[in-house]
Amino acid sequence: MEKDNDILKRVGKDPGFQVPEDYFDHFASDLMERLPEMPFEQEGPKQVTLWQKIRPVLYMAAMFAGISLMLKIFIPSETAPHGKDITALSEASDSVNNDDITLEDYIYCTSVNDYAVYEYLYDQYAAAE
Amino acid sequence: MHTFDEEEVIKRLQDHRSCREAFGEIVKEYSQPLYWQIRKMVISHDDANDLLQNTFLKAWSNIEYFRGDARLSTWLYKIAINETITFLNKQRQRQQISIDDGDLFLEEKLESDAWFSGDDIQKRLQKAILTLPEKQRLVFNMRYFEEKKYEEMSEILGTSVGALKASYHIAAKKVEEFFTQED
Repeated sequence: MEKDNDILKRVGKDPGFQVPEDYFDHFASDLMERLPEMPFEQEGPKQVTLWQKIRPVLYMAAMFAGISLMLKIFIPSETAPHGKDITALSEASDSVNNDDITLEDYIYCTSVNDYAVYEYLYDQYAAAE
Repeated sequence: MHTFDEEEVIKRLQDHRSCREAFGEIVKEYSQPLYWQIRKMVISHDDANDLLQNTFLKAWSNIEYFRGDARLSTWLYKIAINETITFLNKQRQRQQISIDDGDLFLEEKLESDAWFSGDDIQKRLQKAILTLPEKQRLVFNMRYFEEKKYEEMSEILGTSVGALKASYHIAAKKVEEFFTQED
């Protein structure tokens, strides 16, 4: 290692390379001129439009409206007399007649299914005969 | 006299209003050490100039990702060395030379470069260094010419201090052998 150090001492630390005059001064100024503008350099906070502000609220509202519509479609209403007992229907019909409300109005209001209506009308017809 | 305060420059670098100016100071501060690191690897001034520009352009385009966790010089040296190694790999591919064969193809550039004015012994030293494998050449240049600390070299090259010491001593021995063979 002593010999190695001797050789390297003899050679010195100058590699013998050179650069053109004022190379480093020119390099820095030339490079800075060529440096592209970056997006993060744009000043000021980002402009937020009204649409961008209300968009999340509108999306949420639309989502809830969609969910409530689906609930109405797929889950039957507790007030709907689906498969309702015909006796109850008959009683309802009597009260309807008493109040001078037509059967059509009642059906329209309570959404009685068609089968129950036909069955009821058939029974009424059979009883009359 | 203007002194370079790395901590203060990094703060300004992270502010979009002052980042360009701060980057200009970084270029002024680091263009020389990075140039010499690249130049000793690629020999030609023109190649070194191109690679130095690429280094700073790449640093600028990735400046958002520099968080200040590592030293600025370490980050820049890493970019410069990556650029240099990529360039040398392309040169070797073009000439179908293995990475382990040393970079003797650069001897031609040494002979023809207008910006090499070394005497005979300096030229012989450069030729001796060109016989070394790429990694040893990097380590030798950093340690011998730039007198970098092994710890700093370890951060830049991602190699342990022990391995770097061993690599440098092997490289120095090969350079010595080159001289004794020629004498």
